[in-house]
Amino acid sequence: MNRDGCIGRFYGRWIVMILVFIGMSVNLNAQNYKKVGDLKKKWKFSIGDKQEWADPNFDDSNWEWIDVPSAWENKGFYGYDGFAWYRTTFSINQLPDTHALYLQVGYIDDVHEVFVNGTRIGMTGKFPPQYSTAYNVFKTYKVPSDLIEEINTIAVRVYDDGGEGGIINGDIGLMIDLDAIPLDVDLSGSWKFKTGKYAHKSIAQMDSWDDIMVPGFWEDQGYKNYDGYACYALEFELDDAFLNERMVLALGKIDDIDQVYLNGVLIGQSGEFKPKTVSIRSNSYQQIRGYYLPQDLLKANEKNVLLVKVLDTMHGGGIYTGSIGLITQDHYIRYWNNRRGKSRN
Amino acid sequence: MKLNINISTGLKLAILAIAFSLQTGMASAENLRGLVNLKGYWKFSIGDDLSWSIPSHNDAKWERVFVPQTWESNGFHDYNGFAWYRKHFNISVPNQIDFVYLNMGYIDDVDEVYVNGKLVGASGKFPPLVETAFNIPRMYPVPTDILNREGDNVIAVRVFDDYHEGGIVRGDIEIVYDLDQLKMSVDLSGYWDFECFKNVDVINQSVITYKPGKIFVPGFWEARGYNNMDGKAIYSKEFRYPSDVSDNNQVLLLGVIDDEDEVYLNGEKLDVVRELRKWSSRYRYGGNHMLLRAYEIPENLIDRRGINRIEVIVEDHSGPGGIYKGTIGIVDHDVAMPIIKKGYKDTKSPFEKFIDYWFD
Repeated sequence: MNRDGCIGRFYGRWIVMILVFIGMSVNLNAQNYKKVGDLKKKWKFSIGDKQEWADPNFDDSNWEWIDVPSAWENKGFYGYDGFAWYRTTFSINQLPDTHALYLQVGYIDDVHEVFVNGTRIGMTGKFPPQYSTAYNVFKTYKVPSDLIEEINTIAVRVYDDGGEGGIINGDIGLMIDLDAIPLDVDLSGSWKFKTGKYAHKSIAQMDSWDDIMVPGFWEDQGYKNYDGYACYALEFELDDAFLNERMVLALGKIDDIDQVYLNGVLIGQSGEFKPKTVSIRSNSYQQIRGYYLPQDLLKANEKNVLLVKVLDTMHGGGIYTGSIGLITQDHYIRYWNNRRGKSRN
Repeated sequence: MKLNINISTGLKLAILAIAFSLQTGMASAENLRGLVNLKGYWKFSIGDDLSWSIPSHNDAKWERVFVPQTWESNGFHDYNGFAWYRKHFNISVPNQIDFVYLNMGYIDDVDEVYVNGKLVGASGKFPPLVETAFNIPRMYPVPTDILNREGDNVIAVRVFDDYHEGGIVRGDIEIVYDLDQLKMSVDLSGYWDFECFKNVDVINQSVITYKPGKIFVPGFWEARGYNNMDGKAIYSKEFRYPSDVSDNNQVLLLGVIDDEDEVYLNGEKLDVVRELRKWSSRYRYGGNHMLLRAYEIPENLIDRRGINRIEVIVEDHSGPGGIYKGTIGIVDHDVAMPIIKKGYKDTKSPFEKFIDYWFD
């Protein structure tokens, strides 16, 4: 009896190891990042919490300097728990490409929100009163290209519940996704979001839906442990230059399956939109979504409405990574041919 | 101990050798003549544009990929969606042939095939509501009058892959015709009346060999516009019997049928030829989706002056279905026998052949 227990524990540990390993390899597969800007340096820092600290025009010259990454306990704020903000800037001059720019903030203890030029680009964990830690989550956020200016301000709002706090570990910096699709219209950024199987029925009231960053797991954005149906919606306008072209809608990778409507018309789905598809297509969440749009469906100089129904049956859910936007078919062909060429060299 | 091992390995080797020698005869029940081998490098582009079906479209800047092979193995990892394949070829066709068969192997998931700009076949359903046909061997009849016997011909294949691997992935890629078909006294290949519980898919109504209420035989019905259809269907055909051919000792060949069939000629149910019954007590009528069907035509059943009617009720349990390949027609028993024999042998697994060899 006792011996069995030992063996069980022994194998249990191995199983956990193996699962961790599988998890890691999935993460490694998921992205092909290259670091293009180092942010491991001194940032501006202040304890406290004010919304205006996200504003790029806020004057932080009186703030402290702090090393990033490091626990603030080790940098003179021993014993401090609660809110604090970090700020720094970067210039696009040294960056090769701002289309596929990601901000890697590594591990932040416990909860955080990231702003670029005053706009929130992501959050992980949950601030009080419904506090929930995410200290063990390594984060990289897409920086929507329409936010990017000459000089850009990053502001990170952190809440530490106890123990060490702050941007504590990781290779902090600006990254580009080497597999990024060179979009003609970037649609990443803030979308509307609503959970529930019939959420799409209230699309007319999408203004009252929640905001969500795309791409990004919904678990990291206030829907921790949510599995099931949800709806993403986005209104966008388009230059009429694209109307004569066949366009492809890139939706990155979606966990697990999706069904996509443009201006009320079903344009595609990743298999039948029902739970059994998730088990039939066990790696649907790793497939790159590229939906060819029927011509004459996109409108110029008026609103287009994109609706993405998602079903997630376990763990992370949502439009979680990759390039999100529109690309002409010609550019899409060139992208895949280049990618083929690269993979052969 | 040592001896034992030697004997058992020796025996195993012998069985393997026999199994292997029997397997080499497996190639095909049909007596096919290859006209064009289309295996090899094709022009390829991801994307979708119906004008790429036009023969004069310039594909000089397209990529080059090997066919058959998944496009993932051809360097397009992680790509799902539309893509087109194009290939130029020359062909010489015997004059008496009206149709040749274009084999495109297995295509994952959906396809439309154009020869010289004309749609000759389509399987599965394109977005937004995709239906895969990845497990259906694509064989499409091509009327010889659309082929250019003197010069250049172009095949263009529109493919959509919904999930995972995609493209023209495996199988024989070629244009062929069946030499045994030319031996038939009454050639029954081609259009049959077709009744089933499903409507033909919309795209298939634009296929040049489509005729309302009819189906081109042989061919899986999934490759004729009835994707995902399992169950019963009725094939029927009326024909006149040539006055210069004896009606004694005739055999009706019905190709290979997936899965089961019942055959009626002028209202009378036909029985399998006696040799097939004799060769194997294991063979039961209609029970073999690989077996060439051969039926005895009783004396005086054929109407030599009027119209004769054949009705074939086919039931398919799962996967592809229908009268899908092989020789179809009426022919003298003596001519039929070698065709039947070959068809019978080639459907057996090495193990069954081994058993037949020792016990029949």
